[in-house]
Amino acid sequence: MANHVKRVDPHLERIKRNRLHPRHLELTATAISMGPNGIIRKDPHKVGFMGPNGIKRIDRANLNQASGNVVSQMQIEEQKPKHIIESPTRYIVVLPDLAAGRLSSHDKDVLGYAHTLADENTAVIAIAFGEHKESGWQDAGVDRLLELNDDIYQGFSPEARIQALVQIEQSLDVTHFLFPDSIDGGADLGRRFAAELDSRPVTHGWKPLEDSIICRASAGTQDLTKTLSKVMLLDAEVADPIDETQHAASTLDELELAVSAKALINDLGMLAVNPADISLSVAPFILSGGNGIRDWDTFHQAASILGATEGASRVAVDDGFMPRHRQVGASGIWVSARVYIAVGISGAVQHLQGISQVDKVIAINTNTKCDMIKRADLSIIADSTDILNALVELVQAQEVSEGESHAA
Amino acid sequence: MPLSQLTTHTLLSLGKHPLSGRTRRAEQDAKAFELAAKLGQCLGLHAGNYQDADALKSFAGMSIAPVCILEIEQSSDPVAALSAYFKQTKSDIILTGSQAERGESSGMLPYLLGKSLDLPVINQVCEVEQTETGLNITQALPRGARRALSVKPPCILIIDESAPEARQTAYGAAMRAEVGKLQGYNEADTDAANFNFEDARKKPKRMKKIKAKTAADRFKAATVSQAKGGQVIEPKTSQEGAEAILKLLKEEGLVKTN
Repeated sequence: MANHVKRVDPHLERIKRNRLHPRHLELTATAISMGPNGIIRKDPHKVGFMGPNGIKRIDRANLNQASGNVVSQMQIEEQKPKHIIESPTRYIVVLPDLAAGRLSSHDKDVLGYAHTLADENTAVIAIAFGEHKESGWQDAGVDRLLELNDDIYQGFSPEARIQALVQIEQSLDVTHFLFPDSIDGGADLGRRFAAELDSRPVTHGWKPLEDSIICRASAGTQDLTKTLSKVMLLDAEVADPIDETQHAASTLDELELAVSAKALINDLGMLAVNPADISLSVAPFILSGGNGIRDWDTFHQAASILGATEGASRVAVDDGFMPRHRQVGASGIWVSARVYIAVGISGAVQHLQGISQVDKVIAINTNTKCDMIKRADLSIIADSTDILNALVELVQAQEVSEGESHAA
Repeated sequence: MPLSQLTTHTLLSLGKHPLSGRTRRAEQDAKAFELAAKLGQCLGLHAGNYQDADALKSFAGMSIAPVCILEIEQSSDPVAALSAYFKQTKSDIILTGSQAERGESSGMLPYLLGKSLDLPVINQVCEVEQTETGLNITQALPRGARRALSVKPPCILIIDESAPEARQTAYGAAMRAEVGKLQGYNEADTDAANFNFEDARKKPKRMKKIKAKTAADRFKAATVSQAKGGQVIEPKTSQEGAEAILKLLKEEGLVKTN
């Protein structure tokens, strides 16, 4: 009977066999449907696709479907369960450092710890003093966000910040104030606030127990178990950061803070620091040169105009172009810069170890296959001298136009 | 008011060598004492037991200023003793380290002292300079940055690691020095009496958390290398390449945007 004749479209069959065809996915997609009782049904006959030899293949790991893979990951991110607290009765306040304007991993650990202390009626508030660039509050576990970026909170303003915190403490039912115990500001602000409240804080807390926390004492050589306190200063990795739930991060606007501008300490602004004087291990911006550089004068000029600290690979140091204390890598200095420009460095394993803590790596290299380009966030395939010269010209032109606009 | 007329106190504590455990001068307090040497008339002050006088002689061996012990009992709170002392004896500048090398080591002392004496507290100080109206202070921030602050004495300054290195202590001068003795005010610190110190446990290294929910995801996580390549540009002109770099530098705030 005509109805039972299997109709085959040879064109579609060919597409099904050809994994590289743009329509391959839509024809071979797993048939998942909702059953009548709301149960997800999978059709086992529609799983997989025909391989090139006519053998049925099931690609469980999605190895060959790069584009499809990205889509499924995005869906997973959207599906993060929402953690919403409509009307909290109590609060836990976290004061992230926001070093460089973003939540650091230390901040995220402290937010994660806040959620281990919170129950279903407790909301975690993050207070952001000053300007910031952070946008991922929802994913970091912030239920309520309070942004205080008036002029009195800018720069070094502990007095205004403490006034604001004291008023928050009086107007809300806050169980804990959590600070990262870090030199980026949390250690100072937390101790000031604890002194203001006259409560003995947990400092350098690193291992949470049931109702207490183990703290480092004696400058890190001893442990001391303390009960949880109102103000807690916590070390990095105190808890795992939040990554499986999405939080509201709604603005907290029912608060009226009256902070006076009276300050005994005046902030006179940042001082210009010669980048060459900054220790390589803490320098925020490093221009590092290697074997690929032929014109070292251009390199030094670029470093001084960009305001970067100079670094070098082992080869450049061995060849005598740079001093030994500028060497970056396993046998030199381990750097932690925010931006690291590797000029003519191919990326030996020892060098890559030395830059493992760098946030953003820019590589300038002529070899497209070198390891540094695999590590780099931005790679420019060109001659290093030309690029550095062009960069210097651009920055200088920008300074000139700025000067003119100031004069006008 | 010229600086030479300012009175400075440096709070000294007993240090502990991190490896041998021997008593030594606290390194940060030594730096504070060194900074105080520039600020005219100074006194090194330690709140504790007079039995520690021998250990404190290493501060006296720096030949900067006399060292004095404010004697209190073992269980007493040094903050209360120092606060009572400074209410009687006015000091324009009080210099301290950021945390003690022994005991609770919470770093709270300068802040509690500032609260009880109602003085401004500045942390991470690496330089102090006198001006017509007060003090100009350089604050050391992370990543080698420096900030200028001004404050009118009296104030409390907490020294940063990056302050100038302390001079060596001379053994002969230390042995010849007399350590002064003052009777301190005793107020028991009840919380601290119950503290139970243990040797520091090693912090475990954070494990990589596998979040895969299905076997396929786990298999993929174990087999596929997480190669994340960045953006690769092959510029036609060097100008184009330089602009790409400059754009990233501006995003990171390392080069000024106009």
